Amino acid sequence: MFGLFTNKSDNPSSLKERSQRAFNILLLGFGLLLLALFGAWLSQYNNARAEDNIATELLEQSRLEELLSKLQQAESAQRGYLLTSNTTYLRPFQDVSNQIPHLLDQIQSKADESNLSMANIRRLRSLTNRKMREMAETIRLKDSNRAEEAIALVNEDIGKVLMDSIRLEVAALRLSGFKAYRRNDVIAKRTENFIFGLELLSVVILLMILYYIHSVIQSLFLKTQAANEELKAQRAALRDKNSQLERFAYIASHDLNEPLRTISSFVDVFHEEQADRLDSEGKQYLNFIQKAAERMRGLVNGMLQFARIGRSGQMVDIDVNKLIRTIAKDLSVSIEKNRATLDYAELPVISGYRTEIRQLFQNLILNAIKYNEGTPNVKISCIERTSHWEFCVADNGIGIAPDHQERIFGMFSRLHRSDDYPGQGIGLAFCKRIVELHGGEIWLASREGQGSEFYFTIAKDNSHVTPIEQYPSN
Amino acid sequence: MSPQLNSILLIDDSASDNFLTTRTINKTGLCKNVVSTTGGREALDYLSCAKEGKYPNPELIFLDINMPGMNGWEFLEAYNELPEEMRNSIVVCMLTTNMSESDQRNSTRFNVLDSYTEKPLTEAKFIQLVEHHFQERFNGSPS
Repeated sequence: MFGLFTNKSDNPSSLKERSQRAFNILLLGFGLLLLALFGAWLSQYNNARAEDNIATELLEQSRLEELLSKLQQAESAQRGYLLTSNTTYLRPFQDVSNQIPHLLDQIQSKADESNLSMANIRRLRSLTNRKMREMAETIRLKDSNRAEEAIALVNEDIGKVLMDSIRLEVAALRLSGFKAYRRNDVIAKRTENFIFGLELLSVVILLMILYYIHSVIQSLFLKTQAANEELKAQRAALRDKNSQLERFAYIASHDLNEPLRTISSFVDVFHEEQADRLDSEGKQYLNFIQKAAERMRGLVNGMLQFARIGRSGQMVDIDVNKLIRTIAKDLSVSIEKNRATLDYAELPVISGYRTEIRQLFQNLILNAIKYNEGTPNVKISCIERTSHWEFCVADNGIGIAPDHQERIFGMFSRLHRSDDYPGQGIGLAFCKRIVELHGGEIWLASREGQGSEFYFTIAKDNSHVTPIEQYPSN
Repeated sequence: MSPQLNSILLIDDSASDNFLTTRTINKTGLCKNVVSTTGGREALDYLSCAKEGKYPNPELIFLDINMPGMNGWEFLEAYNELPEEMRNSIVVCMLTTNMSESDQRNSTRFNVLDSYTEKPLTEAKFIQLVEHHFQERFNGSPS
């Protein structure tokens, strides 16, 4: 039995064995529990039966007692009548002789249950009947004015002998009833003891099983806890690395800006002071330098902004309907110029960083308008999922070939020459970062030339998002 | 004839930045003399060196914070220690893009700082600064 409690090593096959064993032990415990319950029921049943026996026995004893007292009543009624000839004495006699057969039947009917001997009862019945007949005979003789005969019959002492015999039978019956009762009682007590022992054993084994289950659960619990803690530490380390990386990106882009500004400034100075000494080629070179510097400034600023995502403040409730209306107002120039239409159904109120969520929607809407050769139509919709809101921004634009769909969310990745579609290739990288910041995912469904559908999810409960260290902002 | 400041001191380790700032100020014609120094130490020497019994006391000092050696904050500490007669200037802090957290802490520590401006200094920003700090000259003397 105690072999069950030894711990084995944790290789997978023994793990399976252990779980099988744990199951077997649980099954055994269940069986024992059933057994204990059965024992309890049996003991209850036993008790009830013993009580029934006692009740029957008592009833039977009281009936025997009643029989004797009725016979005595009848006898005194008979004597009274014989002595006084007063017929009022006959009424109780009549009553008793009416009741006695029923009483005898009752005694006999319970004889089996109270273990009285049938022979005794038959003798009691015949003796009682004879006694009654003897008394009835004396009354009949007296009625027919043969009082002397009646007295003589009484004097024969048959009635007394009968009465004594009846008493003896009753005493014998009462004794045997009592003995049977004692016998039953002993058996019941023994059964009770046995059942009690059985129950005690079950309880002990159950306790051992409980201890075993406890030790199994505890070891599982400790292992889970250790794993959880390790995971937590890893996550903290990852977050630390991430924040270091973001900080690096921030500082790098910040410091890159300074020499860039100097280049731009001196190109301006050069333009102002030396332009008349340059030929057209020289001016063109200067333009290239200026353009490159501007472009680099755009990239560096993009990087800076990217590193700043999620640092705009607090999570707030955002009414997306209102947000889209504001964006539409801000983009009205671009929308009117392209004769674009913006459709959106009932949109929810979500929890998120206001600036970032706004940028997310704005970038997607702008892309939908920008990458379009016809009349842009942008549709924004939202489906409620269990833990997330799933938004869709669909357009009728130029679409994206499946090969490129993976790439577009990368930083500085572009599919088109900036002469065709201007931009730094950071818009969708921003979107991805913002969506991830809000515990969601972003993906798209698109075919070249057939429009694009950008899907993204935003977690309903953003309480898991840890607040981000605030960097200085302009 | 617009009113003019007598002198402005620039403290910036970047010679190119000093050049650009001087150029911008000169273009506005609001200052007679712009002096460039490339560090806090050099600036302190300039401020504490009297010419003909008079300390330079420029009306404005443009101070860069991020400098090797003595940085802007250290300069301000030393400047505070100077005798009264040597420091009669309005100090403007020049910021590269933005302030870091420690910069923000320091800026509240030094009440000698009169204002901030972001690099690069443009003509418009300079004129605004002068109008702000030398209001009485613009309003007091009719041009």
